[in-house]
Amino acid sequence: MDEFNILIVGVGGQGVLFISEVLGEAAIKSGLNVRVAEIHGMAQRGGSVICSVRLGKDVYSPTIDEGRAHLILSLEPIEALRQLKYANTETDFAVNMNKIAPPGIYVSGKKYPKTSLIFDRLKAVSKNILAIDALKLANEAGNPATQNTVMLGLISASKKLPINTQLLKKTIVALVKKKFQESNKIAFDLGFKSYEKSKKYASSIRRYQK
Amino acid sequence: MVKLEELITSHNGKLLLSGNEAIVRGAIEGGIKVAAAYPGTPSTEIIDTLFKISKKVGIYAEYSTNEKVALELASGAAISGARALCSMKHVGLNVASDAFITLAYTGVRGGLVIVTADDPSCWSSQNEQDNRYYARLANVPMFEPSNSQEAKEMTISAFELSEKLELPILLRTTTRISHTLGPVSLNPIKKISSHEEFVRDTERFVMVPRNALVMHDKLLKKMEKGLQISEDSPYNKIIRKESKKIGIITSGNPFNYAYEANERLGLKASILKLGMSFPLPVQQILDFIKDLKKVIVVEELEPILESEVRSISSSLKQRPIIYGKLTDNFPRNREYSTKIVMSGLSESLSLKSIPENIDLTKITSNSTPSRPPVLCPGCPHRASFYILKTTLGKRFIYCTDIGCYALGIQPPLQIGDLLICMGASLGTASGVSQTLKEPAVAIVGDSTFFHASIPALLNAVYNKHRIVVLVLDNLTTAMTGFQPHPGVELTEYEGIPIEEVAKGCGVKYVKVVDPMDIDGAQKIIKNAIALDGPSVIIMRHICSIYERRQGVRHDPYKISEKDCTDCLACIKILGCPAIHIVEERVKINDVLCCGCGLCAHICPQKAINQTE
Ligand SMILES: Cc1ncc(C[n+]2csc(CCOP(=O)(O)OP(=O)(O)O)c2C)c(N)n1
Repeated sequence: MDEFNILIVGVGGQGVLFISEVLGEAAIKSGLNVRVAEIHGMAQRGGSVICSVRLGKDVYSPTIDEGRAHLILSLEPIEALRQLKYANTETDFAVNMNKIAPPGIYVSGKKYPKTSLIFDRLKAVSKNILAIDALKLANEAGNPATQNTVMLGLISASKKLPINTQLLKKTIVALVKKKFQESNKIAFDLGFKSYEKSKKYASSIRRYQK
Repeated sequence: MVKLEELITSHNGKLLLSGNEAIVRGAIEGGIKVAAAYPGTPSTEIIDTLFKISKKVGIYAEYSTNEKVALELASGAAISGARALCSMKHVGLNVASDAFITLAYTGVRGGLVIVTADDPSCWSSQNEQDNRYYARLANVPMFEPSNSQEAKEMTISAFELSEKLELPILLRTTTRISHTLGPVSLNPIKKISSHEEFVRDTERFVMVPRNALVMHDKLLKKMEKGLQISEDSPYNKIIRKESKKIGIITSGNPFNYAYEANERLGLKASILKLGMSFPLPVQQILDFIKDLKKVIVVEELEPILESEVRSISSSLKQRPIIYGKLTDNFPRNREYSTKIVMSGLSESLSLKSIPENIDLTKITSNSTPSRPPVLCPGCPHRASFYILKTTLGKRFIYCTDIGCYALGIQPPLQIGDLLICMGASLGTASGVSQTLKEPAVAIVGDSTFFHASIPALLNAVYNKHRIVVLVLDNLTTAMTGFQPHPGVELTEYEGIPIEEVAKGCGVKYVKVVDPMDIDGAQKIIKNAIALDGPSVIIMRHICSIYERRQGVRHDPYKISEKDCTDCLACIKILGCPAIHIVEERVKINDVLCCGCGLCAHICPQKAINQTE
């Protein structure tokens, strides 16, 4: 089947919807057929948010089936873990390392899982992982809210996305308010340039030791 | 996120639109004049968009107090000759159903499209009812789009059909149609002339029994015509494939899954796709199934199509075997996926089961901490719940309601013992109080107060129920995205204060207090719970997110490292998402903190202070 499936996950308020809509807009401009499935409402109140973008001529279903994501873009480490069922051994992961602990874990006295543990599980599914500190780069770009744009730059550098890099960048700029255009451009480029580093970062994360 | 400008001015080309935006575009191309709705996920963006563009496009759009009023307004407009649209979430149609069902008798003159947006899997709802039943209950036609393009086209067709049959038309989406974006081809926006006039016709429009009986006969006649239209409708079509033995019948979003499942399993089954799904095209269905050996019906939620196809097939001498939910091959709850449909098809046709891609059981044995939705940082509801907990504790039953405050059931606050539907808090609290012979607490939001609570308040006054009604007034309809309501004063709207409404309903004890005034609010609640009859306490404080959107910021709070003993009281008592632990120390995230100061109030060490 002619399809390219991107799952975008994160926490309510992180801009998951923005990423999926940018990809959708850019896809249309590239003449691709596309379905972008969003969830609004209740789930967005600081809860886990999951959106999907499906590209390709035979795409009908709004959602991605389990095991069929080509790319999982996660704005938060454990959110990638939560959606592992959508991955297969070939799936590419792009993970923002900026941890956001669910408020509930403090109330219940639990702990946020160790980075090594999270990556052991991701690596058990697929070896194609990019890890990036998008918050750091977004701050460098002068706007912490551009973490999602950093991530878009990063996945654009992987060359697997069937969307042209310049077009993607242009689409972002067209969709944000004027005063945020400059920081978004910088954020995109910073993400784009971090590709090799992100690959190394992910593979350098050691195995979990008790 | 389409630019509104493009949505209302482009005459050609393609736009990426959600199903809801596509309905708006369809309404514009279809010459809409009036729109009315009460918000509700997944329908909300329809009225939000129509409201925003109303002036520019030259239509009347309003947020009505509830779905029944919205539908009544839209009916009045349509009976007076205007094309009108009324959108609501699935449960909204329950509220509007009294008007809806008799409206089918009177019918309309201008086109009336009623959008019902269902929510399989309860993404944002209290139930997953299947509103396809409403088409049958009222006996009105229904369209079910499978994507945004169809959502646009069917909206236009629904206006036309509505005028042809002089009946309201249901346009049914589900979450995955309303909130999925796809390409939509635009057509020119033409001026559609309409003639607005109320032509008096008592026999048709005044539903006393004598007239109603006649109009019921007429409705049945209209629907006979509707059946013919359905038989010939281009929306009911067959996607032909090679198989001579197997066929699939489906509609709406499940068509998408059925299409992909058919391809991936290599079934080569022909698919009968029903876009105008009521009245069912009986002859077309008979023609489709008569030479088949096996027919699989793919539909989410209730086995409606399946039952009807079964009964239609009974007139055949040689009947195919029909598979679906009644044969236990498909689930009767939750939304579908291609995988679920593949497994249903495989089971029906006794194919080998689909192998799992990877075995996750080994990898995810240690479960990932869950992340349910929570009250936002600075949410005034948190303060209200804290006040309730510290004054009444678990001594009384909390009948709560639909809105952000339903999130109060999460730890650590855990306030909420009974929640059914919008406005039910007052009525249920009255019943609990009456039965337990003690006061009960009703918790209700400001928008919900206006939506469906006033009759229950009158009832409590009249019948002297010992309920303490806590109106959590955050000055907006927060859960669905900050729509105004009658209590909200805006430049163009004069607000109707809830306290005046309560007094007007005859409530003797009515107080307004800011939930950030903890001591003051605690006193008022203690007084109220001792009363003999109903009381109304309005906890008024603006929603923190809504306030931020208006550009108002308060300085964040900060924890003094020196004074904090990491006792975790702030975290364990309040559960605010802005308070977290960094390197074993409690910290406040100054980007998330809205500066409400509740944590400072409760900190036993007084270690939390506002920054400047
Ligand atoms: C009959 C019905 N209509 C609409 C909704 C959708 N809905 C859920 S919560 C809500 C808003 C509640 O607003 P409010 O009572 O002011 O509480 P807030 O969310 O602001 O705390 C709406 C409209 C619903 N659940 N049921």
